[in-house]
Amino acid sequence: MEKDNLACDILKEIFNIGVGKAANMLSQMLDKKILLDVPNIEIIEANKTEIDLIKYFNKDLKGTIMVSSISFQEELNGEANLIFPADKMRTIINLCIEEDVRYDEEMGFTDIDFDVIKEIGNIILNSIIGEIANSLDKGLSYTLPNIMIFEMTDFESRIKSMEDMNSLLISISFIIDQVEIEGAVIISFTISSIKEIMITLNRMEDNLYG
Amino acid sequence: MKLLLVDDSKFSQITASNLFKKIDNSIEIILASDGKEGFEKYKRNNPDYIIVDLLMPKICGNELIKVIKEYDKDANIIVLSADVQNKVREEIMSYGVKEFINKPLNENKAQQIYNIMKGENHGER
Amino acid sequence: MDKCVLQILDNLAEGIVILNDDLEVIFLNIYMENLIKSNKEELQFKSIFEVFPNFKKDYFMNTFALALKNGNQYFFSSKIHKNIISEELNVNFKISRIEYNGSYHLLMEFVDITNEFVRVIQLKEQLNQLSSLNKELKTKEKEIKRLLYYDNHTNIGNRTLFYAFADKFLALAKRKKTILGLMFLDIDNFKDINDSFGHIAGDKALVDVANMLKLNVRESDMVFRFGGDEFLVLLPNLEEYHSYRIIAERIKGFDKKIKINDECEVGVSFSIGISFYPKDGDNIEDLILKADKGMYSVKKMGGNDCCQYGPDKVKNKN
Repeated sequence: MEKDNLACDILKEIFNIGVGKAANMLSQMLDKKILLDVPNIEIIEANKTEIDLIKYFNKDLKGTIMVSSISFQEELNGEANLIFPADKMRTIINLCIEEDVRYDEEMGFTDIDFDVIKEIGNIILNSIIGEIANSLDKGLSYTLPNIMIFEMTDFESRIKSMEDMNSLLISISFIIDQVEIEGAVIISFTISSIKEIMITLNRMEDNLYG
Repeated sequence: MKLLLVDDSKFSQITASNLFKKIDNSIEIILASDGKEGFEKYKRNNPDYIIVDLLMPKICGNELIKVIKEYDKDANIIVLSADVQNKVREEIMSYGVKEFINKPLNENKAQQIYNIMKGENHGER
Repeated sequence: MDKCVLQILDNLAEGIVILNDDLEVIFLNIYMENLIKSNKEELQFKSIFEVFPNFKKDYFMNTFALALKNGNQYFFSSKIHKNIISEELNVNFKISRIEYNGSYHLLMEFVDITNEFVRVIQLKEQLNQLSSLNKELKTKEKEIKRLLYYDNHTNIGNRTLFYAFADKFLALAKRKKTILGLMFLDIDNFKDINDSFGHIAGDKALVDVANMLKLNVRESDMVFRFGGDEFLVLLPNLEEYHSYRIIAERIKGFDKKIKINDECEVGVSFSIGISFYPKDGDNIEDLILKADKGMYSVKKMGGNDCCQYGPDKVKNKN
């Protein structure tokens, strides 16, 4: 038990560093200070269909969500999804751009808005996945994220339907210009990848006490 | 030399302790897991140096630094954080901390911190 | 570079720039040359920050360095990074690390989405126009409804609204077995006001009368203009037949002085007839007819009074 806690602690530290790097890039991009919150991590084992994903999420994560998704391969295999509530995404987009013209009627998300999300999603996922690859010393390759809009319930069934995948659920929260944006990253690994990660983590623990 | 290490991550605590012990086995290291515990141990142990993480539960690093500086404006504080934003670094440096080091801690960075501590710590105190 | 690769790059429908690890331009494809109206020879070995000064920001410099170091791809959206390569163009671009001649290089891909920007702006403008048109229609619709159900002059309910409510009130009275009263009011000598002071004064008098009536009936009662100088009041849920007297007294008693102009005031009075469901009929037409008869009897007796329908009741004055 103690050992598992430490493994979780190591992962948490890795995500902290990853999110920290993402915040740094976003801060440079927006030229604004970003407050980030200590991520909370949950590990969800494969085929736990009775699990209620939503209870792990922040209460804001319901209804329509926007998902940036990448799959990664090589030494670890799986996919990573960054999710934010869609209405908050509108706020993020407005924060990122200095829009000269305001429109009274919102027309939903345009392709141009999706590009903004793609850039932000790429920064956050790159930083987090990159930090996993770095810290665990695993070569990973992945491409730019796909952006999709889901209903939370549909997304939940999608995650649950991924058989033989173990998922890490990381809550993240940013505060930019007093606007709090709460989202989550779900990284699903294949069983063999999760085993590989546990072996690496155990080795890191042994080295600590070695 | 007495060093107080405030970090909510057990992993970070052990990594940092190991790295410093490796450089200088005589360092006495005191551990705390959050800002509240950090401040209590600071008052009780009067360490030569304090290494503080920024993102922590209860009192966060940011607050802890202010509280310690209010208590003793000459306290020697080094920040070790995953938050690598320049704007954050500038703000924290303005509180009068000695150095701001980005996580993860490695041998080089530990040596850098050790050198700062050694330079400041003129023999006995 | 391989001739075949060069051909492929020159045939792509996106701008390609290749930088060496000092971030100097070593290649542009034809699409890019056209996009920025320049050519490879001119830009060869120039720093990317010299070619595109807008890249001279921490964010880009750090990202370029990161991409060279860790091989990650980075994407930059035109909405965040406006007019990055020229004032007229909106481009999305992407950087990836490639290996060439034994060292790392950066591949930059530029996609021109200027037209998309124009289209989105057009769409948003159309949407705004539609939305204001929609608002206008809604206001008009409200106005039409108002004209349909309200007397344009006194702003109280008209004949149409009266029938709509009368039917409802009558149905309710039948179901709940309650008494529904119907008052028929006619202004005494209204013609004199029109004749002596003109139509404008007469119209103003009607407005004042309508407002006064509204103030002197119960909250649940409803006042309508039936036409000319005739008004109707629906009195639902009367406890007894004679309960109407309180309301009639109030109408008779309140100060009915109407200001015609700064110097002149005129007093008005009503001849009022009243009928009831169930006593006088079980349909609105009968009730109107009988209330009208009651009103007419009062008018014959000199006005300024209220009378129930029925020959035996004419003398039952208040």
